[in-house]
This record gives sequence, structure tokens and C-alpha cells, in this order.
Amino acid sequence: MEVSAGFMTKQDALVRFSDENCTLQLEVRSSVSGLFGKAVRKAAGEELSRLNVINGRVWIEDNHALDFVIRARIQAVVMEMREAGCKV
Amino acid sequence: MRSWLYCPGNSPKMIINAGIYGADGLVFDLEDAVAPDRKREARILLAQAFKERIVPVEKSAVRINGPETEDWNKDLEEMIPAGALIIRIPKVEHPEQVHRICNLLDRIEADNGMDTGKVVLQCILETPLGVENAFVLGGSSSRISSLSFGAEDYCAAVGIPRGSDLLPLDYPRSRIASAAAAFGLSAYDTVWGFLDDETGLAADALRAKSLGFKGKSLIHPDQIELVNRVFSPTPDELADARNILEEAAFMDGGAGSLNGRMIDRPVILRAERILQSAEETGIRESTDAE
Amino acid sequence: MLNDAGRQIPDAVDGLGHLRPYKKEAVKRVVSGNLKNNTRKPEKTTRISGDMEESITRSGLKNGDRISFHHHLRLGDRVVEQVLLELERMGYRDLILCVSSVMGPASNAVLRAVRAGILRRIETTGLKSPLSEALLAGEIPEPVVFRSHGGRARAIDSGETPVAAAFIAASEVDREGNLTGSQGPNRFGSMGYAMVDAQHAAYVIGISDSVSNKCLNHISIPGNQVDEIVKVESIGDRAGISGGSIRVSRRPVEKLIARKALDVLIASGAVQPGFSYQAGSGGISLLVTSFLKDYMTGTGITGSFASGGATENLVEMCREGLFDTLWDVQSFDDSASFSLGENAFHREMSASRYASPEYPGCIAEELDIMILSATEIDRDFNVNSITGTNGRILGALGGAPDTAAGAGLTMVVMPSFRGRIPTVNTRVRTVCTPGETVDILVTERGIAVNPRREDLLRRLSDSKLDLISIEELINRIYALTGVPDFPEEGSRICAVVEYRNGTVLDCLRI
Repeated sequence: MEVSAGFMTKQDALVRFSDENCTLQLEVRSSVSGLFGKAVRKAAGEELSRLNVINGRVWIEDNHALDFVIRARIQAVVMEMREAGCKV
Repeated sequence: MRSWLYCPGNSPKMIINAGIYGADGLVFDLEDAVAPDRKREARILLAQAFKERIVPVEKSAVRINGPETEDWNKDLEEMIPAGALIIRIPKVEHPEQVHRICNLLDRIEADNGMDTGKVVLQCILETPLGVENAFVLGGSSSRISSLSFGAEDYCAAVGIPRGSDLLPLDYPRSRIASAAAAFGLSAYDTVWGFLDDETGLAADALRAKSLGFKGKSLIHPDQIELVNRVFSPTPDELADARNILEEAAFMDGGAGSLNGRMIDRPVILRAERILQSAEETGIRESTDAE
Repeated sequence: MLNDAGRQIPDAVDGLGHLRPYKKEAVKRVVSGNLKNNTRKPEKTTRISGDMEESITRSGLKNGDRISFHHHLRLGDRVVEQVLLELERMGYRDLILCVSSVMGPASNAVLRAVRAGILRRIETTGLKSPLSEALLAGEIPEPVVFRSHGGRARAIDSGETPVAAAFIAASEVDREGNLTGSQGPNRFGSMGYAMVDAQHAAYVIGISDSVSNKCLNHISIPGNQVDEIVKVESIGDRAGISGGSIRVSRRPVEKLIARKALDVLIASGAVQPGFSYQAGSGGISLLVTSFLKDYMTGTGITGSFASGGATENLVEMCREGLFDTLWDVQSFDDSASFSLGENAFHREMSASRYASPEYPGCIAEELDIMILSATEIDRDFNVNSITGTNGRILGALGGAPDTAAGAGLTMVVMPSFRGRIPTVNTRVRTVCTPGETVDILVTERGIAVNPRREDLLRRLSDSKLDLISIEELINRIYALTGVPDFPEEGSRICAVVEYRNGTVLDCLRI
């Protein structure tokens, strides 16, 4: 199953989460990869960790999103996945 | 609060900038501005914005989804712990809806170690039934701090056009302003959706002010300056209010007169309110908008 | 004696001395040419031919020499391409390209010439894609020299950068060899940048697609500075030259910043009867001009001159009597192009007169107010207008260093971040305009006054403006965006940024 949250518009991020049977994979593509690529990855990683997400694949298409947006979009996909009964 | 600027709850770009334009209050919208299949991500995004203080929480209201939807309770469960203190409820028609919401708020406040009654409610009356029930709704809970009028849905239901003919809206506006005043609540007026019609906006706002509304909701930052001005006391009104209170101080209780006008308790109260609202919005007497 | 007109003339008369009698064959056509700087060129009739190759041969251009172009044709320029192709055909190598700027199709042509070994160095105010990427990829043999408009004028005026051949596109020429940009099918307005080249280049080739048999109404460059003219099929593409009409922004954040900017101008006391004004053509700058116009109309305050970068709104303001004169070094749109030559208030100025530090009382130094934008600014108020925070090349020097130095009040207007990228940083990537010439920064999240301007701080502290220190503003911004991961600089210098007096401000390293 795959869920997504957010848009690809400026200052947002499109986050996709699929419950593949693998340890957590995080892929980030950012239009500010030089200046904030690390920050985006860090915010996403920390949020996934806080939510105890262990499995699955996460893609982030970032378009200048601030950290709070990354955190929120990650929360949204994880919550949707869990409410649908998937163990992630 | 003279102006309440609406901001879509699922738009990071707009959330980030909502507070810079000078509106007295903000309304972050989880209802009409958010598509049905995006309700979850919107409330989470908005909650995160509140948690991280991206928005000025003390003057930010959240318009949750209506009491007859499946989302309103989830909105509250997410937004109150995040720090939201002002909740705007759309399409309010029955006291029963208010009670349901209050019960949930009681529980959430208790669960989060908050004082009971900390969260206040703004009710939007936007249907004929809501307008008719303005009085019972105004008195339905001590949490309620204001009543708002929503003209779009009201006009559609009654079958009148929403536009520059303001007379047909005098009745619902008066009813709401009167009910609000009966319970010491503020009354806030409906949005004006015709962005290119500034004259229409001014007329609409002035009409609402003359009927007792304290402020108005807005859909675009361009509307803020005009609406703030309409709902601010003019320099003359301020000077007048000050004179009245000076005279009242001399009078030492009872009634008196100033320039041929009777100064009694209601007049004094009104003068006090004018000065108080001026202070709250930081208006100084001589300067302010041209 | 009897002269050739049949009159008796004495040999001499008391007081006047010896008289020379009129002789028919002594009458010569007097060629008018009145520029004090131009005494070098002998009188001649200007050759008009269709042969670019022969013109170049006659110019005496050698490998290694410097050639120059202007960029008044903007995105519609087809002249740079034609000339560079001809130089390629003729086998030229290692030339230095000295342009006022390069953009659009001209950029492609220049890159091609660089790759073919025809050009070894570029001297310009700015670069655009694909030239900018090529620069950062190390494709240009010698470092690019970025100069401001005033700096370029100074360098050419002084002989520091001698131009062997100047190729000057004109929208119309006449039989005397006079050039103009305000007539003809491909008119583009002011020839301000080219005027400097015409005065000092060893050989000047005018290039036009329109030759008038009548004298030009408005002469930008006089024929006695032009060695010859080459007539071509077309100097450019009309749509590209026009640039479209510049619409005033409706974005709320930009309007907010512009409103604050006007509040600052008023509170600072800079808007007084007879004031002078210049603003860039970016979105917010245009809004400031628009709001200023409303303010002036409302209060009845009129100014002495506006300058630039002439745009439609400035022409309008002059037409309405809000300014007496519009000084134009470059016309940005059709409105301005068509106004020059039609309106008496609209005056053309050379880049020297505009901004050269060696020109006494240049326009930039007479300015009261300068509104400009940038890519970023730092805590010392240094302004970057060439590179982005991440080092990519985004823009140009333009005349910012000149006007910033000269203006009584230099104001930078910018949003505090673009997307997630802060525009106010602890240190800018490239210093283009030094902080000591920048007075105030206006963003939507705060207004910062350069501490050097105590007078300004005093005047503004009473107002309702949200003044904060620039450090505080940086903190506010980083609190939202996070601190950027500034990319490392390489060690190879690929470009230098010259200040208007020829000293080097900064370098770009890859």
C-alpha cells in the first residue's frame, strides 16, 4: 500500500510512504539540495524515529519546505498507513 | 478585533506568511479551504505550525469542520494539544451542537492539564436556522466569545443574491449583533468575496459597523487596511470619548451633560469601550491611517 | 577688390585688420559634431556598406584585441551573434569581449565563440544562462571581469580597457553616420552604454537594418564618432527587444514590503520638493515607484529628476509633471523607447554621465533616493547581486554599486527568504556592492538600518516602523528556515568583481 501527503508546490513537500517489507529507506530529492538537503533529511529522519517507524520506503520531493512542513507531512503518511492497519 | 484574515489550513506558504500583514486576528481554515481527501494532512500540518509557533497563537483561530461532519472532533483532538485557544465553528444551528463540542473540549482540556474553559468558541451563523437561533446559541455556553455572520450560505438558502444590495442583510446582521450584545459577546461580520470591488467592501463593512459589529472576516491581505480603518474609532470619536470620561470624572456619579448632550451611564460605558478597543489595537489619537 | 559675390571689399579696415574676400571654392560643408571629448576623429563621410567582413578588415582588428557591444537590444539582440559568427569565419582568436551585459541569444553566441577559441575573456556587468553555467564549469579561459556600468565607463574612458573595435547596433542611421535607438522598426530607446564605446574605441562600426535618407530626429551617437556603418537584414527580434510590458506585482508580500519602503522614505524625510529618485525594475522596486507616485500625486510634492533604467511608470510620472526630467541610460520597455525622442523631459545619458566615478557630478551622485534589490545581503550590509546563496550565477552588477555609492539614501527591498533560502545571511557569497554604501534594508519581517547611519536611525526611531538590528533579523529568519549549509568555495578564480574605481571587491572561485 502507498499513501502520500503534501503537494509539490513552493514551500511544500510531497511525501510518499509505501509499506514495503524492508528496513526503513528514506529517499530525498530537494530543490534546495545544496543548502538544505541535509536539514530536510534530518527533519524527516528524526520524525520517523520519533514515530518509531521501522519498515517501509519513504520518498520526499521537497520544494523549499521548512522543517515543520517536513515533520507534518511525515506524520500524515505514517498516521494514514497505521490507521489503515499497516504495521510500520 | 477589527479584522480576521482567513488562511487555508493546508497551504504551508500561506500559513508562514499569514501573520505579517497586520490583521488583528487570523482564522486558519480546516473546513472549506481543504479538500475532503486532505483533511487529515491539513490538521496535522496546522497543528505542527501551532506547536512550533510558526503562527502567532494568541490571535489565531482555527475554523474546524462543521459539527455534522466526521472531522470536527479529530480537529479538536489535534489542535488543542498543539496550542490552539480559539475555535471557530461553522454552520452552527442548535445549542446541542455547541454542547457536544464543549463536552469534548472539557475532556481534552482535562487530558492536557489545561484550565477548564481555556479554549473559547466563535460561532458562525450562516444558515437561516442559525440566524434565527442566534439568541439561544449566544447563551448556550460560557465558552462562546463571539458570534459571526456568514452571508454566502445564508443568501443561498434564503434565495437572495449576495452583492451590493445590503438592505436584505440588515435583518440577519441585526439579529446576530443584538444576540451577541445580549450576552456581552462580540459580533464579527461576514467576508466580502469581490476582491476587485473596494467600494463594495467599504460599504459592506460600514453597514456592519453601524449595526453593531466589532470587526469583519477577510479573505485577502489587501482588505486589511480598509477594514481596520472602518472598525477603528476615528480621531474625533476618540477625542469625544476622552472628553466624556473627563466630564464623567467630574460628575462623580449620576448624570450630567457635555455640549448639550446627556452623559449618563450607557454613554460613559460606550466611551470606555471605545478607548479600550483603541488601546487593544494600538491606535494612537493623532496619527493612524490617512 | 571685387569678391566672388560681386561686391567691393577693402583689403583692411580699422579695428578689424586684414579682410579675406569671399571665394566660391572656399565654401566647405561644415559637419556638426559638438562633443568636447571627440576631437580625435578627422572629418569624413561615413561609408555605409553591406559587407561585415570588409568592415572588420578595415578596422585593423588583430587577434588578442578587445571588441565591444552594448545590450540595448536585450533578449532581441541578433547583432552579437552575427558579428561573432563573422569573426569566427575570418579566423579570429583570443579576443576580449567587453560588453555592457549579455543575455538571451547573445549568451549562446558568446558561449559558442568561447568554446571555439575566439574569445579568451569576458568583461561585463552580468551573465546569463548558458554562459553562467559554463563559467562555473571552468570553460572560460581567463577570469570574467564583472564591472558596474560606471566602472565599465571609467575603464573605457581612462584607456584602461582600450577597445579596438566597437560594434554598435542602432535602430536607425542616416547618411552622415549618425546613430539612434529611438527611430526605426527595431527601436530600443537609449544608447547610453554604447555612447562610451563610440567616444573612445579605436574603430567604431555602426550596425543597422534601417538607413534614413533624412537626418535623424534624435541623434544618440554623432556620425563623426562612427567610422563606418554596416547595413544588415535585421538587428533583432521585435518581441525580444520590446521585453513586454512590465506588470506591477499583485503579490501580498511584495506589496507589504513596498508599503513599508514608502513609509521609510517618508519618515526619513527624503521625499521633499525637488528630490531625485531611481529604482530598479524588479517587482518590489516597481511597486515602490507606483506607491510613491500615488503619494506624490496626493501631496503635490514634485521631484527634480528620475533616472534609470527608464520604464513606463517613470515616463508616466514625468508626463504628469511629478518629475521634471527622466535621465535614461537604458530603456526597458516600448513605452520608454518610444518616449525618448518624443518627450522633451526624456533625456538620454551615457554610462559615463550616469555613473562613472571620474565624471564630475554624475547622475548617480546627484541621487537622493535609490531603491534596489539583490540576491542577498549580510550583517555588514554588503549586497550580492551576481550569485545566489548557493553560488549559482543569477544576476548582474548593473549600476547598483554606482548608485549605492552616490545616493543620499540607498534602500534594499527584498523578501527575507525566497522559498526556503534566506536573503539575509551572516556573510554573502559574493560582495558586489560594499556595505558602507548601503543604508537600509526593508523586508516583510523587519527593517534594518546600517549602524553607520546614526542620522537615519534618529529620524526613524520615532515612527511606527518595525526597526530591528540586522543580526536580530538574521536570527528571525534562521529560526524559520534553519541555517543554510553554505557550499564550499573552490580554489580556482573564475571571475573577479571590480568596484567602480577599478579595485577588486571579491572573486568567484570554483
